[in-house]
Amino acid sequence: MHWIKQQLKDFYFRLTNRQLWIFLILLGLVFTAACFRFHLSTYMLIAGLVFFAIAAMIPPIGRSVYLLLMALTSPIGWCVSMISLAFVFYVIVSPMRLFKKKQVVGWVKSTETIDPSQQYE
Amino acid sequence: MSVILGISAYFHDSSAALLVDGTLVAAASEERFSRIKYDASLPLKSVAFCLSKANLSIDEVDEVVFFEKPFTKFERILDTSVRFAPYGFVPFQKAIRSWLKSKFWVADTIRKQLHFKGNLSFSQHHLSHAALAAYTGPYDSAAIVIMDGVGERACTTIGVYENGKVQLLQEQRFPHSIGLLYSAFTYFCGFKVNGGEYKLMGLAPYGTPRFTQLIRDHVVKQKDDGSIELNLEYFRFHKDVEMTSKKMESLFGVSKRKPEDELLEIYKDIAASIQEVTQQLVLQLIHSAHQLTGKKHLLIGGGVALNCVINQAIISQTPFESYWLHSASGDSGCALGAALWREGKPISSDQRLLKAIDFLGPSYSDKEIEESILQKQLVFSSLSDEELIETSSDLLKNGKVLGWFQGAMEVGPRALGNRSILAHPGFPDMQKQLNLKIKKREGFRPFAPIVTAESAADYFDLQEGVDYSRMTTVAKAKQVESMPSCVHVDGTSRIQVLAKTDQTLLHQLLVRFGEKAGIPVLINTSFNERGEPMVCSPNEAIACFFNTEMDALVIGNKLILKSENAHIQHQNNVYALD
Repeated sequence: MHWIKQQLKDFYFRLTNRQLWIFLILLGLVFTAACFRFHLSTYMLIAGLVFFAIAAMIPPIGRSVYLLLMALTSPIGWCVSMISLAFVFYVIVSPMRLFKKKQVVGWVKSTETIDPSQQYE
Repeated sequence: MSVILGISAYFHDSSAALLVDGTLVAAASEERFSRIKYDASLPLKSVAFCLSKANLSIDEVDEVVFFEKPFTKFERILDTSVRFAPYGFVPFQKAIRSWLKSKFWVADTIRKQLHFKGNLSFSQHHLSHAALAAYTGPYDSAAIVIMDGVGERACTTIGVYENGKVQLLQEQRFPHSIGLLYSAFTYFCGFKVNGGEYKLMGLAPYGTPRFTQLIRDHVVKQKDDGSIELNLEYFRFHKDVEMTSKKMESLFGVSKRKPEDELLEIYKDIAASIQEVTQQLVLQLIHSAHQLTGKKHLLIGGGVALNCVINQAIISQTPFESYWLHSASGDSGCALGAALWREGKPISSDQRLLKAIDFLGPSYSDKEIEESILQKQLVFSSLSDEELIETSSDLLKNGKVLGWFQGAMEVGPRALGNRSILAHPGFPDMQKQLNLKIKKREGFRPFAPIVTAESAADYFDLQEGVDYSRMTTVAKAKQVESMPSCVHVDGTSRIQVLAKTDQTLLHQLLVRFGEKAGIPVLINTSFNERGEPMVCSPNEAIACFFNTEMDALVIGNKLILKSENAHIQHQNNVYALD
């Protein structure tokens, strides 16, 4: 237990405040790019940027985000985090309609069967 | 030689069809062989029948065509699940089981189960419907309108047929579907979805359409371009296994009817209202298709096209001069459509004129029929055509109910005179008797008449040049009394007009019956009882005959009378209620 605590503590203080600040700014930029790539809504983008700004400005929060991220990206943490993310996405994000994808009402152009050997259009 | 095998499966009404050098050789639904109504399994028995009829082996088949794109359909299911999360998970977890079990592996399953090594291709659901209508229809140029519950994603499609080419132009996607709207009300009125829709259509004339405006105001909206928008608050089919929500019950002030419960007046009014709403939606859609394509003729397909009441209005209330649909325009015809799509050209005019496209199922030789009868140790008579007509017309005139089994089985859901139950429409209680004692089904269900082409105009209001076999028409007021059991409460009938060249023996029977009874019209209903698929073989015809209260059975040239076979006990086959 002591060893785990020591490891976490080492990890917690591994980065200087400046390094942590740069790390969180980079994380915020990655998040912004992901928002545009995956068509996340503006609300989602703003909420995320506010979160990263707060984390960068307040070191204890920033360090906790860093620790959580490192823990989640370990092999076991990765599995848990992916399942948790899927759950959060399905139960919270989807019903909140945070994705821009809108329901199609009205006519759309018919898709043509280009390659008959394929099971999809 | 070019051999194309069409297959539809894993939805409902699985079927197979075989096209040899552009000629439709065989087609049949799997339910006719498996004896499971609306059977959705891979149609192995139908495929075996098609190949044996053409005397071919699977190695001689050049290409197998599946009727839709499975992965596109799965994409729609996945998309729906996410869009309506977390509720969408309920139908998804039910769907994923059948997908993992069979639907993901369609290509492998077809190859393995059929031992097929050739080309395998995939049509699109609505393209299969469109190809069936276009390539079996009588036009060189026409607009196409396909309407059903849902295919891969499309629920309604408009297209054109020109110079042998089918082109789909635009589609309306799930969940905004005219078919699903009708199915949801079918469910609300206590009937089964994917099968009970024709009951709702039959129930509609008993009610008053007093909810039409209510439905148009709250449940469904339509734009001028014919597209519709369902108010999903009233439905649950996109997020549950149920079709309608509690809000629908609040709207009408009545709870959903449970199957087999009493049919209260309000359900009849709801049926009448949704029938009227659907008709309005379809007619507006067809108007839009006319504006978009500018064609004179119309080809329709999909399950909604089987609504023969709406079809009646297409001629009188839209700018199209004429329209055509195949008798198997629902999903049971998709295998045919898929094969025709790959062939890419219309069937020969000879095949169309002979109406062979409606009778592509199994037929049985006199020897096979006799063997079946002898195996059951039945008393029967072998008669000449003249004797058969004379005896059958006498029986019918005297109010007896006759099973009629001749030639090749019908390919679609309608009995067109080869697997039919025939009766005298002049007896006022014949409808009730047929419904309750023979078909063992709801008493309100109407029966369709069959009439000779020469006399059709004397009994029904007909327009010249219109094929009435897929629509209802009004019975002439002065004739309603002479055929009360085949005229529905609204004064209409879904007639089948039989020309002399179509089915000679049945035509002769109608003429002789007309001479004796004074009316060349017979009730013609499918040869089966409730929950049972239409009979296919002589054995099934005999079983159905002894399981019901039919009086006589004609199979080929053999006549079997119930009175001479009193020693045969009722079979008491039990079928799941449909």
